[in-house]
Amino acid sequence: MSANQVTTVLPEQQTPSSRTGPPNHPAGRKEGRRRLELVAFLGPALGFYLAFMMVPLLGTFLISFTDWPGFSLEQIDWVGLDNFRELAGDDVFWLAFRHNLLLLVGAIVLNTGLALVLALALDQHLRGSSFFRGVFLMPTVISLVVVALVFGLGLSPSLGFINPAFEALGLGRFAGEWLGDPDRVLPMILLLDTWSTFGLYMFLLIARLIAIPKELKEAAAIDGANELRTIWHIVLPLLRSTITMVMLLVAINSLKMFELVYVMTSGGPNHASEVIATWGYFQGFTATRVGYGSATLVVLLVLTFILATIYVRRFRMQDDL
Amino acid sequence: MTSETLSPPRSETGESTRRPSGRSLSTVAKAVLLYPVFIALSVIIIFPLLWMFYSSFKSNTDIFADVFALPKSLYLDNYKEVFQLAGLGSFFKSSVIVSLVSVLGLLALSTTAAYAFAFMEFRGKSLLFLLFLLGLMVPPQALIISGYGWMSVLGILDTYWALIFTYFGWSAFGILVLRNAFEGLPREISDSAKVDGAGHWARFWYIVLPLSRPSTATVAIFLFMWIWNDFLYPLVYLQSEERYTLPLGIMFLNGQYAPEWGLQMAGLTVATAVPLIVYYVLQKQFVRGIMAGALKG
Repeated sequence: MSANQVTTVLPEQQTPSSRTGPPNHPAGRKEGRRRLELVAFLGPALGFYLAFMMVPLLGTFLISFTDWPGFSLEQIDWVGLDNFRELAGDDVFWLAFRHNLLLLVGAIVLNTGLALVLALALDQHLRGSSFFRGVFLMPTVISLVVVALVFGLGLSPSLGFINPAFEALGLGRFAGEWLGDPDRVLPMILLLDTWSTFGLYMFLLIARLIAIPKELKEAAAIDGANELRTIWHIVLPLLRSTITMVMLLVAINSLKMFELVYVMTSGGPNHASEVIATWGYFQGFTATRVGYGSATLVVLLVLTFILATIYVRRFRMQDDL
Repeated sequence: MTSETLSPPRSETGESTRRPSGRSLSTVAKAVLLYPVFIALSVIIIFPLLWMFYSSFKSNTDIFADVFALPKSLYLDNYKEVFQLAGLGSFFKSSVIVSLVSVLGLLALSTTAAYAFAFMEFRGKSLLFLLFLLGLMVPPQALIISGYGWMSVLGILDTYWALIFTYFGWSAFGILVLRNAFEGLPREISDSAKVDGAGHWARFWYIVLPLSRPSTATVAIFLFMWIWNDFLYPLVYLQSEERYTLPLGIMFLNGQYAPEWGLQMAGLTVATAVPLIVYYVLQKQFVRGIMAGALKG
């Protein structure tokens, strides 16, 4: 695409100079009109982007250096790195941080694994594949709040449907507390996160699979390779970069964990499902420690930017710029 | 035709008929191995939603008597109650207003900006594009505290505008997808218009936009799903119950009517119905959006 871009852009660059041929035409006015047009086309999007994305983004960093109960601007105190020092000794923060990392690793394994296995399975063109593909993608259009509330009721130990379902399947020994059990709440949230997102990543892999020329697989089949060997030696190597991309996207997405936890457990029981975003929210809004809450969220931003930089450098740079 | 750049190249559709022999055996083996997985997973996905749906037609007593049982008759009181007493209609209205205004505005913002990135030359273009790209990665969760402060400085806290303007800031996705679509347009067409003396506005409005309608639709659907389902910004920016959007509203119902599962199920069903219907009607465009968001054709 980049080569295409260069060749197609060139004529445009030349047009103004070659067409401003008549010397009586003031080039300055033309330049001014071009500038005005550019502002008209790009200005609104850029304006909203700066005002409602960049201002809050920079604001988060700035506020993280202050102590502010959040009511009036006069109450802001510049405290330098105090919030971050406090954060370093905040046990709940580190617990939340650990949960985010656990969820991130868990999501990479579960989400990528499930997406990959299903993408390969659906690529076998069994009858009904497109129906199942549609079903697997369905959860991605359902609000996380709905997911949290439906499963929140379903997981209710005495009234929900999950425990009876386990009993009906002969797995009654697994029935019990879910969201109220400090050991089971986080794995359950990971499962629900996977439930609602794996279809997306499965589709990214399917898109790559479709692009693999059939001849490649057929040639391997003629050479006597069975299908598993074909997948292992031919398909997977071709998918490697897409798999890396999916893993990065899963990781970036996993750091956004907030809704499921906030709605289902508010971080409980006793912080067993606390994540950075919910802890930041609690500090900023419930405890009205705006500066400290922002410092918590800065950690989230820094983690995301590390992953995003890897992603952009690896998958976007050469394509888009 | 413009959308071709976004959708993956199609393989020969359907089950290929020209497989080597021995096909039947391996197909049977595959079917035996894979269908149970497909079906089990489909049950895990569909059942909770189906449960939500049919439980909304059961009275509370019936739900607690047997969680799995199907409704004995079409019991509509949950819906009556959730609309009349619990204000679901008002949540629904808020969602419609915010989603429509935001999506339309975002379309205007991102088509024009994408046009500038695709057809105009200016200094710092790639740097500016990178700036937008980075915005694609920012976790909204990290902006809520300063965002709240910023909305209160602007005096639009607890209004639809707080949401709408915030969503207007998330134009990066549309810009990225549409720029790629615009660059995939046949150059001769837009260039010939230029020779005819058409300015940028005419080229944009009469040539580029009509030709890239499929990509624009894809972006619109994707944005709609995201904004309709968004919970975070309504949670932080809205305070008055009458302005709550659906995701915030159903959480509010969960708190207000905790023991009334039937009523909650009715609310959840309404909140889910709209994106699910849009998904099934416009699945193709939606899928294209996923591909376009992370992969480039």
